[in-house]
Amino acid sequence: MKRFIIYVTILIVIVVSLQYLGEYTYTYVYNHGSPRNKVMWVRDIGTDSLDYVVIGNSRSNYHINPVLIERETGEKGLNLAYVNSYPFELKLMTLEVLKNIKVRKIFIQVDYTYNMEIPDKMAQFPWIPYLKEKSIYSQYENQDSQYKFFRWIPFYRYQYYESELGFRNVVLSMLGKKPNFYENQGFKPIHGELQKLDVFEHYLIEKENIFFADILDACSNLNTEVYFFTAPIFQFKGNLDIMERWLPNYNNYTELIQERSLFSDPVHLKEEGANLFTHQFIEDYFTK
Amino acid sequence: MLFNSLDFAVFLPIVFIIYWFVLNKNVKTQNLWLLFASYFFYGWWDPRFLVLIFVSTLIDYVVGKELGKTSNDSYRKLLVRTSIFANIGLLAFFKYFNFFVENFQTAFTFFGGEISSSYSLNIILPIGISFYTFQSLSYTIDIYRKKITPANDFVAFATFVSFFPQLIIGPIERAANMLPQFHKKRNFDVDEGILGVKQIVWGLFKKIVIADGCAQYVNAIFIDYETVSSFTLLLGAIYFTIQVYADFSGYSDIAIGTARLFNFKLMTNFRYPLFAKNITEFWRKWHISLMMWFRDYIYFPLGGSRVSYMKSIRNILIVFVLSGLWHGANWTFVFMGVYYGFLYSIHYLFRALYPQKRTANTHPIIDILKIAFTFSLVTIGMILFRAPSMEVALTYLSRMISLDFSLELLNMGRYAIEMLPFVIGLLIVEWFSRKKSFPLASHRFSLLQMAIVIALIIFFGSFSDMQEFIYFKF
Repeated sequence: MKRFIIYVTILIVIVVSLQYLGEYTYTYVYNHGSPRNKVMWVRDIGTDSLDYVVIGNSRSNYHINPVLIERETGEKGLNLAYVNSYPFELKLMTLEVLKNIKVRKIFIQVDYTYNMEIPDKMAQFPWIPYLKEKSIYSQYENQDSQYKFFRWIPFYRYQYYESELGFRNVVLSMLGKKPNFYENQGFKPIHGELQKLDVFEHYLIEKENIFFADILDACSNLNTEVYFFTAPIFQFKGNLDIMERWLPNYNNYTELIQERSLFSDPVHLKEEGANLFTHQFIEDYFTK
Repeated sequence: MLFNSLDFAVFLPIVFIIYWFVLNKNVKTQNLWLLFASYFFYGWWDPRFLVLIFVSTLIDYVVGKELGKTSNDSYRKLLVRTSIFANIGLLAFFKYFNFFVENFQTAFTFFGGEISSSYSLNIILPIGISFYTFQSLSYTIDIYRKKITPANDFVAFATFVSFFPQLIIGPIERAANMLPQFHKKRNFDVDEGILGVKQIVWGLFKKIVIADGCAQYVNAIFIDYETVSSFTLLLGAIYFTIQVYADFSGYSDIAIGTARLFNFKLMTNFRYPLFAKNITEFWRKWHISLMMWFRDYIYFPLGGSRVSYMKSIRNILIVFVLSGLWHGANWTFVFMGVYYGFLYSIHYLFRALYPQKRTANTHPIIDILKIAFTFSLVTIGMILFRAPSMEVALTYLSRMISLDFSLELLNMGRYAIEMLPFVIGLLIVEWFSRKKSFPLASHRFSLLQMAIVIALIIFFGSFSDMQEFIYFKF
């Protein structure tokens, strides 16, 4: 039995050592390597000041084109929106932007996800490498006990998000490979044809979301202007206007574009539609 | 409780420590502990279904005792039929009730009748029921056939039926192999223990790195089967064959390895089936415990191959259709059985008509071509296994052979070909290990091999997309 216990102990030592090796290597790469996602990008931006940033989920990631804005107005900005960002992630991104960049205006896309009060499993992965930082962990620790495992079990967080933060992305980051959102200052156009024609219906609960209150506080402390907007949706039925009660400078563009051929799906515009929307965005926010 | 879960990583050491350090003096208390652990292991999923295992165990124990006592043929027949009815009845109700009702309704409606659809029930399939009912059933049939004597120790018998390493998805053990092991004094064997740990690690590698890695692509390809190219569909079918193999044989390795830790020897369930040179050889190496069960309790009683060619082929088809249906209540499984049965029958006839071919030595290149051909045939059948309906299976197959070999691959953050080095690596390692029970079984560079495999699991395992074992649903 003694030989067996020694053997198992050696294996446990190997496992623990490899977990620590992975933990330190991956964390180092995600702190010093080439950005692989927009959170890494903000932390590694190397820009002192910007005129504006756009924060949101896929409905601003695919819709606001900073290259077009700069060409027509000379205003420099970035689209920092990424897929599945809900209010919790919008707040994290806003705080991260305010920490790293001096920015004049922040535009935040809000919609039918307004009532969400928990982190999204898919949207949280860009934050996972920085989870041990006090400012990030303090946001997550009361959300779910899982974050305690992420915090204290070495390398577990990278294993859990292996498909997004695993070996492939570590190697690409080390090799300096930049993702395609770099080309358009964060804007990523999509294509495809709208198939379903069902009315998209969603009613919000009339209740303040604490994450947006935190965003407003943080921006007001640094005298940063903050604007909220809702991007177009094809044949939407609901009560998004109620957000006006809690969100200052709110513009609802839900019905701005209703041309079916400009949509890739009911909530996402194609590139042509995105450029049309960006033009309206320029007119409302940069030329008035 | 999943073998690849944190729960099991805590459960196993506790069971092991109490088994060897606290209860090592007495076989009966060790059995009782294993029974408790096994029921806990099963109840972790859903404690309600512990009643089913217990009832099945009790019926077969009592039937076995009665069979041992009497020599009256008609009473013996009644007893064994009771056991068959109870076990198959449980299986039929939980697994096939809705399938038969729905098909009966369809047939009735087709012929112009009207029938209410309210007869189907919302039944949850108890995990592992197809495995433990077969295992328990083999016990009473073997006593009826006077191959074994009845168990006198209920705890030992109940532990044999519910032994946690193989309870959920086998190997489907036989009482003749397992029951004596529950009666003999067990001393810890260091070499067996180390071999067990190695086999568990190898099983985890196959499950977490290979099977779950392939699963991500297979799932995406089977969702988009109507739009992706035939090249991608082909890759999806190959990945699924590898996934099923790695998933199921990985589970068997973990089961056999875990049993070794308690000084039990389970039967081999997979013997490198992907290197089979023909379909007959494949089915001798794939899910061996199930195929042996069907051979001993269905095929041989029907006459096996000691009857005319036509009857032999009939027997083969019956076995394969039943084994297909055993997998699940869906026509895809029935047709999968028909497909493999058809291939098996062709090969059976070929061997019967050209017996000299069986012993001929062939060139290694010819062997490789035979392996590739057999793999291709198996892979086609696996599409039926994976597809949710015959319509999907046929569309998948027709689109796969449409020869649209554009190199378009799925963009899922990663590209589907990234799994290929792992799949090819697994095949190479298994090819060079095919004379061993599993690749890590050797003693040379043992620790280095283990360190490499553990590193591969840690750095390349799919922990975020951890999947249940495929055969859990059977």
